[in-house]
Amino acid sequence: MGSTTADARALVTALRSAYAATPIKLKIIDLYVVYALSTVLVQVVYMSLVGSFPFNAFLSGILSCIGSAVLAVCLRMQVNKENKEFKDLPPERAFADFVLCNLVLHLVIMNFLG
Amino acid sequence: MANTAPGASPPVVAYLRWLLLGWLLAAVCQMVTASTVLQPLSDGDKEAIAGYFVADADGFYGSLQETYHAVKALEILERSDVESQKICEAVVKSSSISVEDAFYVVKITEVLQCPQGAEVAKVVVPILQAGVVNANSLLELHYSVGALATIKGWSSNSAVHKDALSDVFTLLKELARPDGTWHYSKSDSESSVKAAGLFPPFSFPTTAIVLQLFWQSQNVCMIACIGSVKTAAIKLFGNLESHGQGVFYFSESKDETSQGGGALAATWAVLRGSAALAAVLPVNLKVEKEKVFGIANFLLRTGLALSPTEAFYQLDSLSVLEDYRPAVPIIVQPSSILSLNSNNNLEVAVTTVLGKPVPQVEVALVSAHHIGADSPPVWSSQNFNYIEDSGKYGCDFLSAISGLGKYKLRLEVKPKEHSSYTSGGLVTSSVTVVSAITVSNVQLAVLDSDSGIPDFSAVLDFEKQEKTSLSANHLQKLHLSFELTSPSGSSFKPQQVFLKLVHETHVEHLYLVKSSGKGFELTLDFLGLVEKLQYLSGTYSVVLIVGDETMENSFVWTLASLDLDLPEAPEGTALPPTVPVEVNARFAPKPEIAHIFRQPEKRPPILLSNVFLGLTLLPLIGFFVGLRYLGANIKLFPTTGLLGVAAFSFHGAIASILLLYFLFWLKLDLFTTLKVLGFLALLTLLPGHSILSYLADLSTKQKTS
Repeated sequence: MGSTTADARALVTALRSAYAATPIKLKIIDLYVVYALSTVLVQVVYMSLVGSFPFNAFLSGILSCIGSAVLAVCLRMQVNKENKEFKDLPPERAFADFVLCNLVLHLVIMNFLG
Repeated sequence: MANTAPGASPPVVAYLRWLLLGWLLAAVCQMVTASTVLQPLSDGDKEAIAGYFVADADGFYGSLQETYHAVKALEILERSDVESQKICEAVVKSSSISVEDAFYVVKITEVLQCPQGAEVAKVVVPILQAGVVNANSLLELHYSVGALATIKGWSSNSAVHKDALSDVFTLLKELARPDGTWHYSKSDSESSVKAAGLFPPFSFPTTAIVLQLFWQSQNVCMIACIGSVKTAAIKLFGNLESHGQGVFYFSESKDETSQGGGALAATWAVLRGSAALAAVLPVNLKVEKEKVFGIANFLLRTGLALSPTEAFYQLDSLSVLEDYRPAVPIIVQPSSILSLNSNNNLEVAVTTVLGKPVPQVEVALVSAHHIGADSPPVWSSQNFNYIEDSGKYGCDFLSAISGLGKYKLRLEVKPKEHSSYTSGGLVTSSVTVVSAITVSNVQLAVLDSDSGIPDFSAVLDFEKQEKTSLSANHLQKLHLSFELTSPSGSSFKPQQVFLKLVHETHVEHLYLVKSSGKGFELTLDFLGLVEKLQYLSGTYSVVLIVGDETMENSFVWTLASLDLDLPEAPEGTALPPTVPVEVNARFAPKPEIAHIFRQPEKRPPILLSNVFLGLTLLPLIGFFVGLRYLGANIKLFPTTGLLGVAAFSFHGAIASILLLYFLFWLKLDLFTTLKVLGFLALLTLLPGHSILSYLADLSTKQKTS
């Protein structure tokens, strides 16, 4: 039992030390993803309390956050230097894509919000 | 119509429209027919007129004038529901009133026979005497002189001064015009254009009263002045207008001096005035009797009045005609239906315009003519006898006529003693002679189709309205025969003879029964009728309908209940119609549909929503806190030079796009948004491209160096 706790502690410590090595830009993106997902969580809790009556409003709120999170994950994949797949892609280009996709996503979201 | 299919509604509507049109035409015809027989004021009319006058809490009927009209009208109608004591007491107390009001106070006191006459006289005499002296129009004269003449004798000081009287008479002579019309006031005589055709309705009564006053004050009026007044009066009757059919009336002048009330008011004024004049003139006023009858005709045919004032004019005019010296119109009304069975005399009611019986005339039947038959007149001159009990005149008409039917009568009424009665010439009317018809030998049988031998037969008694029950199938026939006999013994042919079959589902079939020889006969061959009966087996009611105008006992008699067995409908024939929809139900209003709006969805409490709005902002705060913890900064953000401008405009453009989205959510439509968005996108693209490519170049340089 004690060894399990110690193992878990060791695992978390290893994870933290490994993550500490992550570049600060990627950490910001991770923080943004966490922020988006926790906003989704708040909205889901609200829906479970009062019901989903203006369903389109609820849906657009959730999708806005999830979409942002997904786009941010994509951005992270492209910006990450460890990822050899996007080696030739400059991070600025990735950021421009991110901005464009966000603008299109939110145009649709606003239209759907009602 | 009996078995109209439910789908055939447009023809049904068209048919109903024709039916309605026909009915309207019939109603119009009936009105025209009815208009040929003049009727006195009926009890119903009197009741309706009395209904116009409704007293308020004080017993009054509105203003003094309206109250006078009401009490006078109710007096003529002989109604006792006037609160005379209350009105008398209130009238005495009226002071400081105009000449017009004083006139009506006096008139009300006169009609109600108030015991306070002397007190009333004390109040109004000074007002009226001043009115006589100051009067310069006919209307003012009418009020003051008229009231003074009425209260003469109530009090000692009410006499009109003789000098004043002669002034009045001079004024009257000034106002009278040679053609029988009158100027309204002195000033009118100067502007003759305005006075042209003027007819103030108060000239006659005033003249009459003035003359009366002259008479009673023992003043000597020259024969010439009587003559001129009389000539003026008779000329006035030359102004009578007519719109045909012996209807005469006075039309009102069309200028502002008229008192309203139209032809009724004008006619009333002339009648009242000429009656007053005829009462005081020593010589008889010669007015043509036809014209007097024409006026009665107008008053009775004009219908119920529209207002209490009109009702008063109509009623008072009729009461004047009750005892009108030039001529008293009387109305002759023969009964319209005469039954052979009751041995009735042909009765004729002779009444005055208000419906009082007139006993002193001779009524003679000039001729009677059978309408529809080409026979010569069936009657020569015959006198009627007065029947004391009913107040009518009767004669034995039935013994001379040939049979049932409608007869056109021409009656003549001659005054016996009182020479002034007028009935407006020969009276034409019609009487329908009716009788009960004997129905005999009513035989109902079910025959075999091939041999014609009766399988069932029943003789029914009409007096007992007997009913039988029988059964038949499609291989048999139904046979009906009966005879109709009029009282003279000849066979009678009514206008309508029908046999009706009514199925238990109320589907009806109508058949015309034709006369054959002595009686009537009908044979229904069910084999040929199977399709028309729509293969509808079951119980039918057999109903005989006989009706005629001259038949007292027209009837609808259910002869039998027939249990009919018809073959099954072959495949493909239309189903029998359901019960025909009742016309009333079809056109009746449909039940009202109450509109129910959609209930709004239940919304959460505002406080809870606001709390969660705050909660959604929490992660944002967390994001900023996290950024600070990670040590993120914007130190590399270019703030100077062309690069700074590009960087700021790039971020500013993105912010403006987000603001546009926000406005799109609030109020803009998609098209406006897209137009602005295109512009903003261009604005974002250029600085975005320059700043990002610069950053990219920078990082490549760093890598290579």
